[in-house]
Amino acid sequence: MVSDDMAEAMMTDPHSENGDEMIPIDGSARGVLPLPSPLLSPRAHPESMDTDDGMDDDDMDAVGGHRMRQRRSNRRLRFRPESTGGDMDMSPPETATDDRFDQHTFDMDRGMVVSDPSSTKVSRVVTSERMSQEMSALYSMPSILSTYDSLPPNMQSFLLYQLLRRTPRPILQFATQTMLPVLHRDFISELPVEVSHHILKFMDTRSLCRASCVSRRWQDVVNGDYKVWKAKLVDARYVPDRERVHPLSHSYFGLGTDPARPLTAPRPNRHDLDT
Amino acid sequence: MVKLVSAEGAVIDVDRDIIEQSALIRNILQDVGDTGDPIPVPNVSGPILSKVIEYCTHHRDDLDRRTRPDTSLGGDADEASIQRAIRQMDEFDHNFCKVDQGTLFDIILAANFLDIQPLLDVASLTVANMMKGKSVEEIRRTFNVKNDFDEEEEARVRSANAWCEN
Repeated sequence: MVSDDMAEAMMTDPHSENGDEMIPIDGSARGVLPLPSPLLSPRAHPESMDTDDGMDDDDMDAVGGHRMRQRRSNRRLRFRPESTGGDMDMSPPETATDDRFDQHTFDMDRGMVVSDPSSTKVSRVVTSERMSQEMSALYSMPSILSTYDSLPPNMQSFLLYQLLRRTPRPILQFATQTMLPVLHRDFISELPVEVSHHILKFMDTRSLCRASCVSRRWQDVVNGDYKVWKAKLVDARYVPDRERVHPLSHSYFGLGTDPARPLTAPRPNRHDLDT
Repeated sequence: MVKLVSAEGAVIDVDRDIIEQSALIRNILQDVGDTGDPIPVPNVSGPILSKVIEYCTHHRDDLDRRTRPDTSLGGDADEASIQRAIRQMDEFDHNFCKVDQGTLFDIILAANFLDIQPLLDVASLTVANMMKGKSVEEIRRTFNVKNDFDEEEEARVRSANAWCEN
């Protein structure tokens, strides 16, 4: 009956080649799926339900049964690439919501991990091997991590380089999103204080004021650098001319050392300081 | 040729006139002479050392950067060199500093240790530009700084620094 159907299909339908490939493993349809997880994906769910509803080839009418099967096979073919994409999320079998699918995946696990001696079909065996490879890769993940941890730093960077080279763009984007916040450095607090002061010399007055509001450490660093502030005040003509000639011969900013000497300029506003 | 040994022990060959932009190396070479022995640079990792050498190679003929600014007419030497650094920052320098913060941090440390003033200026100016025009919260976010002021204290600090905002 089945072979008749197939012969007919080959003659009438250009797509029958695909159907031909699918039909022999119809009874064990799940065997063609790469991983258990696609069956758990919401998109795959109704499709696989359909293939499972008490189908028996021998019960079918020659023509109608063939068409039905053809339809199913095509649908399953369509469904296959979808499911390959869907297994990216790697949902573990335990998360299944439907008992039937639990059973499903359990059978599949057995089929994959323990090779079925009764199965003589080549495609089934090949698929099982691939699945067992993927499963064993999954199981070896902890050992990969411990291997990575035990490597010396230069080998770690080499391994990471090799991994990054074979990583697709979306995952690389995820990696940068994870890495960039970690790479942020607190320059003002962590650098030696003289270097921090050097950085502050390039800042305008308003930014200096804001920097001193950032944290206690930043406040100490910003306010601890009198040379930075002195330069701003000199620019704003806040310090008397005589002070500019011998800036270090007087006390802090040189102000108030001689009460009789008036300031040559009024208190500056921001526009003076930023020039 | 001068041999430098990075923190990991990697030996890097570099032309003498390039690495003499580092005042530290220049002084070592002047003091002990060019014996051909490798010079250890234990504070600088290999990748950062090659970045620094890349900078020095690009500016090897740029003698103007190495001289101290002319202050014979009076004025603050510090301020003059700051202004000159801002003027001299070119496109190469901008692109050179377009790196992640960790690398920039290490470049600053290396420039400070090796005493390469133009590189220190360029990197410091880059960090300063990251802060310019940003609000306090934006600065905290940019550098991942935790606000350790309590509420009352922060209000006081903010009002003390409010004079520059208007």
